[in-house]
Amino acid sequence: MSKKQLLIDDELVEFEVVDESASFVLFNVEGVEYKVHLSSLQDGKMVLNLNGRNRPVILVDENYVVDGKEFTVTAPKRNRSKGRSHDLGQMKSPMPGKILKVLVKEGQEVEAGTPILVMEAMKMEHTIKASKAGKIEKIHYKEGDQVAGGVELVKLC
Amino acid sequence: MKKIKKILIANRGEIALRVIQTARELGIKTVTLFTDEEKGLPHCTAGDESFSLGSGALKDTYLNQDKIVAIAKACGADAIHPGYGFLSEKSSFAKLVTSHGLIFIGPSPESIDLMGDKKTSKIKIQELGVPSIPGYHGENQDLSHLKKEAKRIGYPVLVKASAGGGGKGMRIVEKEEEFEAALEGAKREALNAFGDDTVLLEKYITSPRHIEIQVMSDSHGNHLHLFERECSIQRRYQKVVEESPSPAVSPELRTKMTEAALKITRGINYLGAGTIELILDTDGQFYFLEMNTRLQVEHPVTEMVTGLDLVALQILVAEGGKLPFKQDDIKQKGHAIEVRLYAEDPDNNFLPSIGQIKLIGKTSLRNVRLDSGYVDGNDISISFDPMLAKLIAWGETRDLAADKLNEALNDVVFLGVKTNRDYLKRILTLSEYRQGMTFTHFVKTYEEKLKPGKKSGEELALAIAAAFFNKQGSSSVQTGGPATVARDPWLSLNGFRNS
Repeated sequence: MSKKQLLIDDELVEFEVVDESASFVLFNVEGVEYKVHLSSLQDGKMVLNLNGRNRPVILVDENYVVDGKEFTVTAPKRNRSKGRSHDLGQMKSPMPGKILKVLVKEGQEVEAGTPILVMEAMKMEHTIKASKAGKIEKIHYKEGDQVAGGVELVKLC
Repeated sequence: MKKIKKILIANRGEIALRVIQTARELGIKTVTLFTDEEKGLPHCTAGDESFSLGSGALKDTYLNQDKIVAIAKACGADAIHPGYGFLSEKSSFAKLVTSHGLIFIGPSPESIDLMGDKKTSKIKIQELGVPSIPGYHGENQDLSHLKKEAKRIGYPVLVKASAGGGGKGMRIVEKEEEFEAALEGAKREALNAFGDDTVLLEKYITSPRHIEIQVMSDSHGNHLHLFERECSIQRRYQKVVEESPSPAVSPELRTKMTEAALKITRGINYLGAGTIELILDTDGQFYFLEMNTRLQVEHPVTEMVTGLDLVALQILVAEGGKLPFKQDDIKQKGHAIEVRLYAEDPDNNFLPSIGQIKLIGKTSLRNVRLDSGYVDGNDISISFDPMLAKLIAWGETRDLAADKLNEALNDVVFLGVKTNRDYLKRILTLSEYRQGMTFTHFVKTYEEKLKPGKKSGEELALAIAAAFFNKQGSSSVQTGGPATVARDPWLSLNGFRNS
């Protein structure tokens, strides 16, 4: 028996494989034992069988739609500590776009949820709010700037 | 009557493909347009001929009227279909097209002007005896004046861009203290989107439904309606679920609403396809909201319940043809529901997402229609609307249509991009949806109930097993050759971590 971990939609899931073959896998997850059979696998389409019911799977890379539910399943990163470890002080742009309005000043104290700036992307406005209470240490962009996706917009301490 | 032989489509994406579909069925040639950034998208090569609009801002590409008309002339097109959005409701474009001897597949410039402006349309509608929502549509845009008008109308008040559409430049103001900030936001958005920051004010109806009547008129005095669609379920003021018939419309109310719609099309001597948008209050009163002088995104639900091809009818009446049926011949059969698949994260404030479509998927269910402008491998960028596709299902009853659509969403998956697919399934299976509790604030009202549930143990187990067999399959392909040692499949899984 061996313990394994997978990241399912960013949630670290631990399970224990009891037995396995080319056509089935028997494992424990969250204290319950499951035996899942592989009924077929061809052309990116898989059919699993659990408890006597066929479960169609559509898959590409790490993306899976199992029985109509979508999951991303990836291996946990080795240097990652258990669970979430977000740096809440970093506020990133959710997507590429333009800074329309900066609503705070450097040095200003804010509550969690205080609107920090307004971005425009996909022809819509999005308000970026403070991820936690704190002090705005640095604002990296000014009104009118184009920003890439996933970059730090402000530093909140 | 002049038969159209070649249509230039002044649009992109799914609607360009939709027009091509009908044109091909009618033996009409098509010409598509594209920008350099769009190469690889189906519409760039879908017609009989395709021309590049170059690259740059929309005003230099899809909104460049002179360039588009020049291409139409050069390639010998005799008509232009504007689709929806872009130039479809620009009277100057309709005028330009006709002045070059081409047919504009749409209404007259006068109709577009009259109905396109929210102020003039409401004045006209009142003349025709159709009720509209109390509001302020005046020229005076001073803050103090607008504030006074808002007070007169009574809060809550809606601030809307005069030139607007699609929810851009719109704000609901609950109380006077919030008015100034909301006005500023609406004006900024309106200026950005339409180049005009004139706003109007309206009474905000607390529990409204959005019901719209599809109309179709020819140039021989025939003004017909194709019944209603309900499009109450919206997010960020954009429609998410559309259906026909509406669960809220009784036969008597339907008669009243369609009569009001035809009063308008007759009254303005309308031509072509159009939509009269109405707001239905809980007391059964309805008010004119606006008229869209073009084909709508959600036209497929009407096509599925009536069996008619709206694009074919648009072409017919644009040619000067006569509608080949009478009002009584048009029947609303069964029930059709459309959902819009968007590239967005509904569980994070509907933020748009980007990425590459790895797999769209397809469904073999009968009477299910997928209208999309994408194919596998296409990149979703931020430059255009986040709508990936429309999925429409028809059933004998509303429940059957909803069940079928929910099933079809298991097949049409758009893997690779974060989408609202699961969210749409949550809507379709929500008991309040099934009961027809569809008001325009549906998304907000049922926010909690529409949140994703915690994954069940069974779901987790299936995800684990799917990943297990997926990795096992690919590792056995890679190894090949004579096996030396019995391998633990988990050892060959890159990145699977033992703890």
